[in-house]
Amino acid sequence: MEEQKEQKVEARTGGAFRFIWDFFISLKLTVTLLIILAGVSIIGTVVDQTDPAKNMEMLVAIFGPGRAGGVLDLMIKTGLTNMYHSYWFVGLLSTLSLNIAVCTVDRFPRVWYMVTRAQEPLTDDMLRTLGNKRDIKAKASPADLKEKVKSAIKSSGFSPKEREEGGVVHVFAESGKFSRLGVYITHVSVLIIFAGAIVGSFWGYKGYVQIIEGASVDKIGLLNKPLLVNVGPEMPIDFKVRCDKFVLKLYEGSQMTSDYLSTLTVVDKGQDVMTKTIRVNDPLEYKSIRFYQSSYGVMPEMAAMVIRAYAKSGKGTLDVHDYNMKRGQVVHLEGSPYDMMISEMAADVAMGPDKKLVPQSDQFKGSGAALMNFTDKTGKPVDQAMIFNMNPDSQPQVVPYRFEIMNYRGPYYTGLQVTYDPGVWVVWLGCALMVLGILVAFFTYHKRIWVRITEGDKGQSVITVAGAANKNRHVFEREFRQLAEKIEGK
Amino acid sequence: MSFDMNVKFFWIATLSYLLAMVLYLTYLAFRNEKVGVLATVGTYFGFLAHTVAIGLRWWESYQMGQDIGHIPISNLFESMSFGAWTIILIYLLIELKYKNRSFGAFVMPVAFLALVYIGVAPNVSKDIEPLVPALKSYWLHVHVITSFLGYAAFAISFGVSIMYLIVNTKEKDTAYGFWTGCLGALFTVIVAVTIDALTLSKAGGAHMLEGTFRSSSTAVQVISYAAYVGILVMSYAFSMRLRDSLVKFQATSEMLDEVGYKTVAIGFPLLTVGIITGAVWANAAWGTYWGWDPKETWSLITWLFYLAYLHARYTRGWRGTRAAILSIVGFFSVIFTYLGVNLLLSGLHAYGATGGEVDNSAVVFLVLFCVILVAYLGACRLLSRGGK
Repeated sequence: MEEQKEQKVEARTGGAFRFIWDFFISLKLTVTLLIILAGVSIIGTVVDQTDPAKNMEMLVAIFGPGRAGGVLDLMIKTGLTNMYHSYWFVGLLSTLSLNIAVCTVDRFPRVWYMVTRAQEPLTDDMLRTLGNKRDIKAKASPADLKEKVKSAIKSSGFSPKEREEGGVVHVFAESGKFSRLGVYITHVSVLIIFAGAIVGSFWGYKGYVQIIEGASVDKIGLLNKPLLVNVGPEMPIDFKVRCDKFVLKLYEGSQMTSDYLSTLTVVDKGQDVMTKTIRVNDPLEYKSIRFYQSSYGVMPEMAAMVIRAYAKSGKGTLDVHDYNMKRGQVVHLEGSPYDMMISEMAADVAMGPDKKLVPQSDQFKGSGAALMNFTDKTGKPVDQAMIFNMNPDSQPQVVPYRFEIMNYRGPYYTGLQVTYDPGVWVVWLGCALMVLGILVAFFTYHKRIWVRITEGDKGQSVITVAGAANKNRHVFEREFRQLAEKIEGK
Repeated sequence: MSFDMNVKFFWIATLSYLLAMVLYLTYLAFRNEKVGVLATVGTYFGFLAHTVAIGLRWWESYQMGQDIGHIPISNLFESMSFGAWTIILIYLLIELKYKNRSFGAFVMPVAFLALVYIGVAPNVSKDIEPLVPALKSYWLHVHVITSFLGYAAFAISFGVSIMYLIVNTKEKDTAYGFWTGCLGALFTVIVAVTIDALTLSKAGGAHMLEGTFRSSSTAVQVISYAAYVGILVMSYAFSMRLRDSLVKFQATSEMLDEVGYKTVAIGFPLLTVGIITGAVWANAAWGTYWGWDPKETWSLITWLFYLAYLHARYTRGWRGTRAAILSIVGFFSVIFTYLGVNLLLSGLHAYGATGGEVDNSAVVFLVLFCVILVAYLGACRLLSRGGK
């Protein structure tokens, strides 16, 4: 009884394992997963993964403003708005990985056997299955013909081997054995790439820092946290990065940015250990952490505007004076009893649809704006005006001056994207293997040639030539014919 | 001093390709060897002018300023011109290798239409523009060139696969529905884009297809969709005549199937290298090799699609008609990856001024367009079943 029970349990667990194995080994599973992966990815390009406002816009247009909110909530709950980090997407990729792994493990031993086993000499059974074969009669003994056959095979690019069995001379050769491994290299490479990505998301992170010219940082504000490391919103690093200089280059005669560079110095344990001038596409790397030139700007609190004041009275003498003013700085307006102060300033604005001014960039291109406040000697406010170059009529009413913004300057900060990815070299290894695997699988193939020389009577022999290839059969047929003609013709 | 000599050569190339296209079609219809030779000569001449146009643009960009000079593959005009150039290049290599001119009639239109589109579209600028800092890298060269060579190979497979389906049509079955539907859809898009070019103003910053399917006037939209259905119906009715006049090819089904497969076998590794170099570049520029940006994601979808094509061929023996259909659908994915993403979706690859907003009308158009095509296919299938 006990034995029977044990056997039943074994059968059931064996059966369960078999069931799981058969599930993961199926090609239908692969096709299904790939279709789901493609379909879900397409949805991910239409549903915005970064900006909820864009999704809301789209949903309102399709479902109407009433239902859109509910649909968006549903999308957020099911992870459609942050798809690529959701559990089910990761699950999808994991299932695919298992599928690839199981298929590879299952099929690989057979292929490895085919690749490593020695080539067998030609038998009649084999001859029956081969498509390329030819019998050639020759007036010589096998021993004499052997060298001729070997040289013909060598001149076709193979390395012939020979064997003698009971008076029958076998010569055979093969090439491109390892082409059969190409497919396995590509499949394993996919697994390696996934592994690299997993390592990167478990221990790697992505962040952003702004460094004002002359200042330094020792903490990174995180955008993506590593999944397996417990850390707050900022990642501390054990060195400092200092921005020595920031340079902005514009194309001659235009406001278009040509290039922007930051000279960064790494300070480790109080010593300047490394200096590099970085630009977009050329980051700084220290202790595997990389700093990428990503953006730049002017710190608004430290910026200054150059304001030009024109006396309004048309008395013939033009009273023009330039003032360099920081935000909140009180400056006396020459030749008048007033003081002025800029409470809000922007380098580059445009008029929005509802007549509001919308900030565009940190670069002064001629359309700056400044909210100027005017006070009298006692400090009492007397006037206020939003000076906007694109609207010259927007001027103070009481104070008899016209104002124009000439420039907006400030110390720049450099915006750096910071990443730490311990898995990235694993991913590159996987990519290189994939390309190698594809080239091997597509452009090489396994060719085998057999020659059997049997002695007939009166010093005559029959040469049987046969060949096989696992791919590119048309091309091989031609090659085989040429080889057979070589053996025959010479 | 204007730097648009390269545009003059561009037009010479475009017109030469038009002439060659007409000559290839004439050659197919009348099988006159002399006409065929002229067609090939026209293609070589156009290709030469096209090469000069690209080289001249490269040189002219440096004349504008050492800082401004760059390889001419950086915006929609330049990349599409280069894309057409690679298609012609690979086509000429295949014509040499297989000594067969019949493909020309199916490949030239793709290249010619690409050039005409960028030549006349109101919102595609032909000016040489300086590069933004992010594009100043040698990865631009490697990534764009390998990707476009891959696309070109897939484009040729597409043309050859359509030929295969036409040549193998024996009756108005589902496969017939498929290729007539594709040709009808393509023809509709060409007409719509032509209407764009003629009716939209340059200054408006107009979006693609705003003259027809995405027009602000509902009446125009309805007429556009009705015309689309009409074109499909006409395609169904008259394409047998097209088949009859083209069935006298010297191209056998076997050769068409082989070329259709071999071009995918060339395109797939190229696309793989294109995607990988894109990832390496992204890692050098932004620190992430894969960000699920719409362009990255769609290029992956295209890659998966041709992967499916190859698996289906190797493990399930999918050849002939099935392989041809897969190749044709795959190419639509290529077009969406190259143009659809840039012109209809947002993301890091958006070509700035020419669109790049998630516009609801774009999504609506895409969905309706595909639904109508699938309905047409279904109707063809029903009709073919009903006939039996």
